[in-house]
Amino acid sequence: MLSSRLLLLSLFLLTSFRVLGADNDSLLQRALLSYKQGAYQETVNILKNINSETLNPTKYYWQGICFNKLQMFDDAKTAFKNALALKYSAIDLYYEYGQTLYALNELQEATHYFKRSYDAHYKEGPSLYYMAHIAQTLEEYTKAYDTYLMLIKGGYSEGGLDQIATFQVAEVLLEKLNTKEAPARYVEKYVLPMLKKALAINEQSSVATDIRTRIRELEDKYDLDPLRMRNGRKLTQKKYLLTLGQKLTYDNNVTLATDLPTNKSTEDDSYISETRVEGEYRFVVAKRVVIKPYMNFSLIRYENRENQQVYQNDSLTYAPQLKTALEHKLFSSPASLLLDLQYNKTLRDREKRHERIFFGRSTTLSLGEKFLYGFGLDATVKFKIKNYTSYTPLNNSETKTLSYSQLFPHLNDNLFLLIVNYDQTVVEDSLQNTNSYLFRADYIVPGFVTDKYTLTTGFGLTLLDTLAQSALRGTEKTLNPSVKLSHESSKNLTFSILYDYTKNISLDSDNYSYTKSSLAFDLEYSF
Amino acid sequence: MNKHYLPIFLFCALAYQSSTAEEVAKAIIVKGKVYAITSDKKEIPLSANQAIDEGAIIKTAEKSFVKLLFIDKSQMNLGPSSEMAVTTFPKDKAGIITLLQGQIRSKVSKDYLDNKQKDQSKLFIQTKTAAMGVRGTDFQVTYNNENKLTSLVTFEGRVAMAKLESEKFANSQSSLEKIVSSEKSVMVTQGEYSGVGKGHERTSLPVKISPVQLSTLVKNDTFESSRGNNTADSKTESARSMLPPGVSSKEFSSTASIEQNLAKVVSTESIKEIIKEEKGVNTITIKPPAEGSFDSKTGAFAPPAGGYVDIKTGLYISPDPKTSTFDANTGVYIVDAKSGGVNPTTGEYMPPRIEGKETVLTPDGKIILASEPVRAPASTATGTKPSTTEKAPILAPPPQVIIFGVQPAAPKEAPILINDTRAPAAVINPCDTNPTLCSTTTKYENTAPTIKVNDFSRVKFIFTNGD
Repeated sequence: MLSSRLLLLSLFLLTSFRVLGADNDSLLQRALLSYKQGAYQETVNILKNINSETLNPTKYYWQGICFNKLQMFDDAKTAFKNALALKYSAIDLYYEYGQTLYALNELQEATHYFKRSYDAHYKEGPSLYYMAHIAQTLEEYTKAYDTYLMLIKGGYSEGGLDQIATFQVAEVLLEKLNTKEAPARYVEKYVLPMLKKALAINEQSSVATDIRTRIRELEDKYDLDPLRMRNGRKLTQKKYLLTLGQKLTYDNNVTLATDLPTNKSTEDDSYISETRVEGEYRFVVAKRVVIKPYMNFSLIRYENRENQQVYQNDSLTYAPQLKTALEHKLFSSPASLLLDLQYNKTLRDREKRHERIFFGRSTTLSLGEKFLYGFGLDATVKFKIKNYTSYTPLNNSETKTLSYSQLFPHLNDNLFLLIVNYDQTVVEDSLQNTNSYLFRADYIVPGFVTDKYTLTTGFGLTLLDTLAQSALRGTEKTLNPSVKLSHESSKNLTFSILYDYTKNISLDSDNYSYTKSSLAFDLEYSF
Repeated sequence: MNKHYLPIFLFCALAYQSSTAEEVAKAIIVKGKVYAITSDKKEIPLSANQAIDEGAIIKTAEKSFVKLLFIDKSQMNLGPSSEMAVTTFPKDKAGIITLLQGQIRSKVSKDYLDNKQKDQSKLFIQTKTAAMGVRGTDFQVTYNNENKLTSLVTFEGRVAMAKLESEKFANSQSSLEKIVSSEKSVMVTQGEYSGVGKGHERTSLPVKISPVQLSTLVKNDTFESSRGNNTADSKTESARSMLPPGVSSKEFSSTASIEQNLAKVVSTESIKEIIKEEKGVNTITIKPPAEGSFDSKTGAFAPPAGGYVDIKTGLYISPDPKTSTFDANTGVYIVDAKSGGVNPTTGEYMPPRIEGKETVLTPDGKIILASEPVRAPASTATGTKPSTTEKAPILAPPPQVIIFGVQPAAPKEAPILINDTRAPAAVINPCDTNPTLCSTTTKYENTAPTIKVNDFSRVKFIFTNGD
């Protein structure tokens, strides 16, 4: 009797066990299906029904992962703690728990678990990063520094980890700044080089953008930007200018190029070839003074070799210049006090022998101010004195000039340039004295049709008061509309087409009134 | 005498029969206030078991809902504050439903799918901005008249979707089939979202929505709402995101496999069974990368995957791949808790609270305080309508939420709430490549001008380098 009862009991227990085992299995299957579909809440609910000594550690671990994905970190913490208490040993358990604690701001404990994750060789790079980042957050800078270095030296570069770690090393170094006597020097010597090292790892990453911004901020704050002057004006990266240009022009009415501010037409046409070279180099002194020695050579040849009046204009010009600017502030904006000295020597075929000989030289001193006022772009006011020595003493002269130019922005990218100029020329032969007034406006459209094209249209009006000759010539007017289209074929090469029309109106119309048109093709290469 | 009346009677009977529109559906569940609008614009209350004719317009009030059963056994649920027209529903061709406003959830019968032309649409849904050709079984469409956004979520099967170029509704099945089969159309499969608005060039490429939202939304086919029930936000008000700032989400996400851990405690065979079965279920192939993509040549645009869909406004709340955790299990990003969450019962998107107060998402993508409490839909009391347009006081600046669908895919101005993440291959931050998107700068700001102006006037001025 007893044995049969025992047998029945055993059978019953065995059957129950099998049923229970089958239930857990199907629950696990359902949970896995839900989990793979991302239905994490459902997965958690299914797992709640499992209660088995063998399965509980897995259950808690799995619930913790689901709660993490649902961003329910308090519940995740409880679940992971239960898994740990049951000595569950999944390879990612410490890492997942570390992330939960990090999200809950329990940073010290999070560090402990990331250390365990690192020791278990799971996500070593990210684990180290978490440890270093937490130390940095807790202002344990030495520990943060050492851990970041460990990460960098360990060669963990996946996902740009090395770059961001190097970036953070620079930030940690910056935190020590308030202990330094010469902060700017410290930043220049240690922090900026570290940031530049981080940038060099990958200049295209999104972190690189943050690094560049940080470099700019520090350079501005500690006045370390080599291109930023003390008044805040930012210079261009390129220190030098070297260009070669070749222009071919067709002029339908060549005017005599004299050394006087008056022109006569030859009523003959010609092709004109001009070759030019110019260059300059920029020096900066104490971030206040900019010095630019400049040189320009220009060789002009008129292809009409039959008309002496035309080819006598062949010329060779040398024009060295020393430009200086003292950077300061005016109207609370960067401004420059300009002082320039220019020398110009021209050789011409004045004797019509196909030989360029001395024609004239001049020295010009100019003093000016470039500033921002009202319209947001540069305005320049200049006063110049030019002494001219001609091959014939009667043409020696002195010219005083007062000029004003202003740039206006228009429609975001376009520019409007206005120039007003007054010249007073006193010639040795006083009959040639003149006063002239120039008004010129140009409209510049960068990105005309496409980014590569620039369109410039302009109109100039010059009024020439002929003074002693005014009874004969009156006040001559010169009208000069022009249009130019430039194409940037490459970073260095620019091709332009320019059309220029000139109409000169004089009382002495027989000698001084004329019209002319010229069409030019210009190719310029910049180094 | 009687002989004359018979033909007249027969004639009248026939005439009467031909003048009545054909019944194509029946309202099997009616909740709240539902109306049928007649051809002379009268609103007739609709009750359960009432027949719906072809050409009928059905309209629901706030917190109301109607379930329609069509002659082909398909079911269509019209959500609250919605309006749809049964444009045409012939027996031998695909039906055309026009969604004028609101949401519909449709379960097309399997019998209808078993016809031989498997690549043809079985049903067409059109809105003012999109046309959809149903080739699957279970999906939800939202059209919001304020932001003109059409959004589609497919729960099972496939739905073809394309932008409707003009705001004129198409009249025929052939023209709709042509639209949904065009080059710019997309096929939205199980678990995916696609949307299009008035200013968009084309529909967005389909992306997986948050699996958490999908699993609850699929069950909520009666448009239950949880607003005003004081359901507390179940997510932890944590101080920080799981990710340190600036790190790669994919690199920092855990990649350990649950299956490997399960294999320690259960028989490997049973796990293999599950994986085999699961492969059959989960047939979504992710074409755009999870971070989202943008093809500047074609204009094809995909927001980052894993976002939430706001059923009321049609907006897609996108995760930010830079700061959101990546879920290696589902291959999508997890929207940060600070951008809101979903109700675990209804699947509704819940915008983030501001100082503990409930907020609403407006059709133009702003998050404002809910000015008045919203009653639960089960209540038949006339609750006051939550105002989404009046300027509710905001106690603190609302959190930044990245939303797709408010503006065209390539906006000229920089709205706060837009996400047009570029494809990873391009690795482009929109602000870097399109400065007008995020800031305006002038070329000549603080740099020495490099303009050259040659003046060909008599007195020669040559300005070089700003002189």
